[in-house]
Amino acid sequence: MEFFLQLVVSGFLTGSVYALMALGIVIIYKASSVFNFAHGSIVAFAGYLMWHLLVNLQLSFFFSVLISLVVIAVISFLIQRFILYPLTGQSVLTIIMATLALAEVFSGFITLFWPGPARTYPKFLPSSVFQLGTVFITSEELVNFAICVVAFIIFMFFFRKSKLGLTMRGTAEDHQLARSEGVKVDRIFVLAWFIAIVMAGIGGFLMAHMHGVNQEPLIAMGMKSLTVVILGGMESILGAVIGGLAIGLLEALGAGYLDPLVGGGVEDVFPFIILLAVLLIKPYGLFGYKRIERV
Amino acid sequence: MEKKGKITSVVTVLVLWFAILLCLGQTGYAGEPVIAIGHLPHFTGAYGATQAPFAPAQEDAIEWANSVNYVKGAKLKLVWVDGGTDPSKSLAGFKKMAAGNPAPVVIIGESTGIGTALVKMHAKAKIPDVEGGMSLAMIKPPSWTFVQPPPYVNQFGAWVDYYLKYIWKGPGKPKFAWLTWDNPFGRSPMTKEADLYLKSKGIEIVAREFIPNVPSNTIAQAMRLKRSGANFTFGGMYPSALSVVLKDMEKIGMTGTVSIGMSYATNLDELVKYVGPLANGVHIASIVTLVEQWPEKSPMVQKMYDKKKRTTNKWGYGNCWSKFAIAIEAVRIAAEKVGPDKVDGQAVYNALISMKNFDAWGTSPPVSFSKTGRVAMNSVEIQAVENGKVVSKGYADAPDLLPGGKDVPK
Amino acid sequence: MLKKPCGTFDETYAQDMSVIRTPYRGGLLILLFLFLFVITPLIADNYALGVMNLIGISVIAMMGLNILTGYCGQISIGHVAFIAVGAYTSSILSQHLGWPFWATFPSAILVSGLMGMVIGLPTLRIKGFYIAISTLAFHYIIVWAILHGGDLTKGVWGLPCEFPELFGISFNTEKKMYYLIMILAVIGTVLAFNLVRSKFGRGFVAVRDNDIAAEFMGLNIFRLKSIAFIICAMYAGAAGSLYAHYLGMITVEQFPLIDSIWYLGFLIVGGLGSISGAIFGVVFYRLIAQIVLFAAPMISEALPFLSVSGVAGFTQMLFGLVIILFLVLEPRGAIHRWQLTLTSFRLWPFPY
Repeated sequence: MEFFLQLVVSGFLTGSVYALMALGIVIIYKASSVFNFAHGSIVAFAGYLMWHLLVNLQLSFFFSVLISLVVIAVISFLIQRFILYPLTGQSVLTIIMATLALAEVFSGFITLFWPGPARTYPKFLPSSVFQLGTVFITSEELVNFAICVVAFIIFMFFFRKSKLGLTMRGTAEDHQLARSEGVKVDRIFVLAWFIAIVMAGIGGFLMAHMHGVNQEPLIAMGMKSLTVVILGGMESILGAVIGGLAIGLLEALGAGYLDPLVGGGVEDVFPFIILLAVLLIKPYGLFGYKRIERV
Repeated sequence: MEKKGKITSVVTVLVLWFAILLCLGQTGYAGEPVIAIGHLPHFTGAYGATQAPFAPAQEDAIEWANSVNYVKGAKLKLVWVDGGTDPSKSLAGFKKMAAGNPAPVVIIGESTGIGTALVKMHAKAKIPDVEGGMSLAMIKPPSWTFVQPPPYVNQFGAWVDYYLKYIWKGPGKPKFAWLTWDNPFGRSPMTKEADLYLKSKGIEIVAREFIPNVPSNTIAQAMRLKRSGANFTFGGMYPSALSVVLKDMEKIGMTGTVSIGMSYATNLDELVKYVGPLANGVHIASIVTLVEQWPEKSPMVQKMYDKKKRTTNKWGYGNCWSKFAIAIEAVRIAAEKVGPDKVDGQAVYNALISMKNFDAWGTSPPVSFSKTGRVAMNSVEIQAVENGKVVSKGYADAPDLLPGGKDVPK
Repeated sequence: MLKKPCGTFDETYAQDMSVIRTPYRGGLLILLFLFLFVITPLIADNYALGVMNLIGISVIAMMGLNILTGYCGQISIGHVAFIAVGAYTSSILSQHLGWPFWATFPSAILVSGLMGMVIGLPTLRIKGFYIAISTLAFHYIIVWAILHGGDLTKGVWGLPCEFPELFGISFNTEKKMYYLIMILAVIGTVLAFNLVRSKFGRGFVAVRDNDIAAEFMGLNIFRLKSIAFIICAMYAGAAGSLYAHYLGMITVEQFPLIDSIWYLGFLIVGGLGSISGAIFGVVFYRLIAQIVLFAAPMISEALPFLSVSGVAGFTQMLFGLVIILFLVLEPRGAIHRWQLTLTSFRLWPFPY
């Protein structure tokens, strides 16, 4: 029982970071129906950028965040202006491949400017271990979880209540229709990318505390969030959060109970098997919109 | 059509660019014969971060060898392609180097998977491979692959011996657990021979824990390890993965209760950077001389590092040097035997199989090959973290635990 | 000239179905054959032949993906897993049972096809990206199975595989292998070309364009999607088998996920749903990778202020930028531009 509880709690807390990164993908998808393969590389890029400002240039935390936001805004604009805008109206697959190429550009950039082994951040959060009954929790995990909850609430509100959020959802539904209603579609895209990259950045920052700022693990984590999004349903903010927590939980349980049976390595595969099973029952993910197709 | 114009201009620019590059590429040394040494590192892709320090090292090693005229009567030239951790890219890169002019007389490989894939290619092209990876297929003569690190299973043997001799104090026998990466690199020490070796020492294996490639939560593994009551472990992991495990171990309060042993590729300096005091007590069976000992053991490495004002990770830098040391030494022997202008793959192969107790310029334990022996070292340097500092615990013999090896218990 | 002149129409069914529609097309085909089987082996060195071999194997794999994604509209990012299945089937049969190439090659195709059938099953309910991710799941499961396959797959150690031997000839040199691979690639291409003109091919296109409408028209879309998956897997299996026999040694690391994604990417760069587009995509992919290989050391000599590993990153960036450029300038694939050019010649000088 003690074992089980610990697995569940740790799994959930790890899952909250996945959820945070998955939110970024969902936001881009909601605004522009682009499934962003570059997310992992962007997560890594944001992690390196923060490291560069904080550690290399020795800026204060506040300034680092500020400069990061400006850089991210510029990048969002460039992506929109030079990739998405010319591809408006093209097949979705083409746009996805453009994001894949974008991933290559980002990781090339990282290799070019920050080669070599991982970087580490100075410790921001006091790391201490709490004990709840038989379950151990670290303060870092709690902070991650809190950030995830706050982000979730903000975005839920944003997309349900705010005008901008509703406009974004409308834009995703039909670019042309939105345009005819006077929506500046270009700006909506820029904004969506901006928010998504910021989310990726927060995720990258938190992951970097776990792994150090290291290109490969960060990209792998970003890729994992693709699975999370599919499990939760591509349009659903709630789905991203539940999906993230579920994947975290499944990994922990798989490693806990199946590893000894089959000789290890279940952690990477088990979530996928469950994912397949879920998709067979709910083809649009747990919370995805059911498309009613018309001919 | 505006678009057509755009395409044409883009294509023109690209063509011009490559034309310029081709012209720039045509440089060479005049006079002395030029011997090319190939290198197939992976600067991009999954191994990119780890192998980035190889980039300055490859240049510096060749430059130093040329500056002291290490191979008399010939200049060495570096030929390299980036394998990108991608087999098809590496394969094409190998072919490119092999067909180049001058064709390299030896190629240094840097990956177990790709090195394994290229075993037959190397033999067919008659270019020996001084390899940083290690697999059984590579070391089966008549392969042309010469493996630099001792097999992981031998490193495991060295760690077991060391643990029994210096660390284990309690009554009875210690309990052993595997704690390793769930990938080819991590699993490769887990062989039948390893099990037999433990059995012959009366040690029980109480757990086999696998850590995924990019772990985020290893609490299940850590708790099982705690429950099993293991006294010491062995495995292969990069520091970023091991640091996650160490943090989870701290969480459930088992820091310091288990002696963790790792194979050589766990860079302890990095580990200390990640987890600070949690790294205390982690041991590795290293094949790279401790960075602090460069000035006495391999001054040329220190000299080049300072002279070029390098800032890369020193461990990776030194590791790459030792492979170049083996390759360049082999070329030197070959040049002495057949003359500097007649050095080819066959000559270097002959030189490699005659190499005995070569000190690899002090960058690693001594290196020997033979007609049937494709593994460079039979000893390792045990290194450990003590009070946040990486220290050397001296050389330890690595038992030969490969299938059919002489130290495998019957 | 490669299309019939403006105002000329097919008058019989035979004309309409003919492959060689104009004499120029026939001439071009003959030139292509000459280039592939006479000129290249004469002038190419081992390196060039090696690249051609790699291209040939990739063309076979790409044909399958093109049928699945380009014609039938099902996205797959598990293509490399199918290739791995083919490669491992071949190696296991030749290593453990000692089967010769003529037996392992069809078996690899068969086993891979069976896998394709299994993976095609979820298409009954799942669509779009969701099916893409289920193929991704397949990839991870295959990798896991190979790593934990015990003596069968030799786990992490990799399996050796013999060079192919047919009719007493051992294909142990680059050049001999070149003929084998190219002949198989040509056969595969011709088969694919005819398949997409068949009843199935038309069915695939109908499913891609709108599967609900296709169902209304009496097509069994589940059956068609399954068949597309099986064919795709069979092509991949053939490519995998060849790859294993060509390399002589396979390990699980040779089948990375990113390759699947690139296959898809270059299918789009070449042009979805077109045989020549698919071939162009592969050739472009492999060649640009070669250029990057060549360029990196040269750039590092030309721009000494960049660190060497920085140059590798630089070339990686260039690689990404070139693809973005291609996609932005010609989002429907290079083959679309080619068709436009042909048409404009045909209509010239009276474009209407």
